[in-house]
Amino acid sequence: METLNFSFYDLLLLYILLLIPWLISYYLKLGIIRDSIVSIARMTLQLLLVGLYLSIIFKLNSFWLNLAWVTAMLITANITTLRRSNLAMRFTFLVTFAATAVGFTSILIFFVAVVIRPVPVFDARYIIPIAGMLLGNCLRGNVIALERFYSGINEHEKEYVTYVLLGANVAEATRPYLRLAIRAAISPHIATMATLGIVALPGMMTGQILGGAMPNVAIKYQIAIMICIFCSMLISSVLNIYFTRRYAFDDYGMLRREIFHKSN
Amino acid sequence: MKPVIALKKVSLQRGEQLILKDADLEVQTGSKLVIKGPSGCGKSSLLAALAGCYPPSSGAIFISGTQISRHNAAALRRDIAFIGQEPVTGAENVREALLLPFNFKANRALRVTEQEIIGVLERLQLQPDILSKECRHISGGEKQRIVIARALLLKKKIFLADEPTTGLDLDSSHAVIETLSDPEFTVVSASHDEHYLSHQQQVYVFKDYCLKAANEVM
Repeated sequence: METLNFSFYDLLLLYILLLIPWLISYYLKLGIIRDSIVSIARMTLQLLLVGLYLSIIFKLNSFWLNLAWVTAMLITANITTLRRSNLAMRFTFLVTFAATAVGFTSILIFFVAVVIRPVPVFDARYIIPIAGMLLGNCLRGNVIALERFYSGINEHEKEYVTYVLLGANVAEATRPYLRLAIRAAISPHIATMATLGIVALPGMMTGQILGGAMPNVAIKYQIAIMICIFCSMLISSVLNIYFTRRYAFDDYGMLRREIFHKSN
Repeated sequence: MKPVIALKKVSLQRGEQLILKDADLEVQTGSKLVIKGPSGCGKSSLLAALAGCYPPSSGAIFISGTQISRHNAAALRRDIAFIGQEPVTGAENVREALLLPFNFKANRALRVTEQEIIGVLERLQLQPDILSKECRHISGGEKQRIVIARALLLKKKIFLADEPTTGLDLDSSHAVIETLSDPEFTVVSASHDEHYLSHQQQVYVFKDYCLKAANEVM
């Protein structure tokens, strides 16, 4: 079964469809015409580019190129994580990179090399989309975990210092904030798993069915990817906190202000 | 006799802000010393430095003859109880709050019996039934007494107290003052509370980055 292709001229029909929301917006003065034009233009350009270099990557299907691509994704995800969690790059870049790399690559390798076993094992058709899904979710989890953890300690400084002065070491004194942060990071995914297939058909499964896969193959991939996301999100968010914690506190057990991005 | 707490030419700074300049001070065992001064002058920062939360920008702070440094701050804190103005119980109910520090590695060797808990509560004029209450349902005065009870269970001998009686009801305030007046305890506190001040042996005034005995100021 092949997916029915449609031409770029057919795609133009969908851009014509945009006239409807723009007319509604104009009539109701919603003020979203300009923003939506910019967004749709960006989306089109970005996806055209992604389509272009993905087709090159798929064609060459080289181990080193795939590795470089995954590393580039990892670096971008790491920069985004630190920016959004308001941590200063110069203190945390390498450690958060290592934490995410461990949490994400271990699960990626396990899933591709042990479970799916494509030939060759580094086949871009499997590695690239699965890496993207895992990393996208790890990114979301890491941002929530790091942000909640450090803002939790910062906002409850008196409580934190009380634990330290009662004899707790940094690991013991930060444990309550670690628990809250990891729970906040991971519970949306847990909730998603519980409603999968009832509320909405998940994106990966929909994509595979449209791509011609049988539903029983699509659900296996979907279950597998959900479990892999859960594992890699949990490992990478816990490691992100563990690894950054070594640098975030001084020898007196107090939170170093320098780890926050200056604007804070 | 070696002073329990000693400051030698200590200057303190938080960020860009100067707090204390070249201060010398000696606190003997069992002394009750209180520091008063305008709010925001740095009394709390001084107490935090004595608790080894951050190092002086120059000079040295000694606890029981040992200079506080980044290598021994955690160990020296084992003798020190810090009582803040807003007591932090750090647990859901009172029993858990009292036992909280005994879960930490540093305190694993310490044991506490039910009898000791009841005894300590009694000393602070608290009924044993408070143990099952949730911390968010007890008054500020009771919370403050629980925090002190916890310090007693940890067998602390040095108390650093930041406004320990401010905002407390009369009963709680009396209980706190009476407990801290034990000659076994060395107490350095910061307070505005006249009633509390009247029970202290040495009053120091903190002004213009200096610490001076109140009788010298007058």
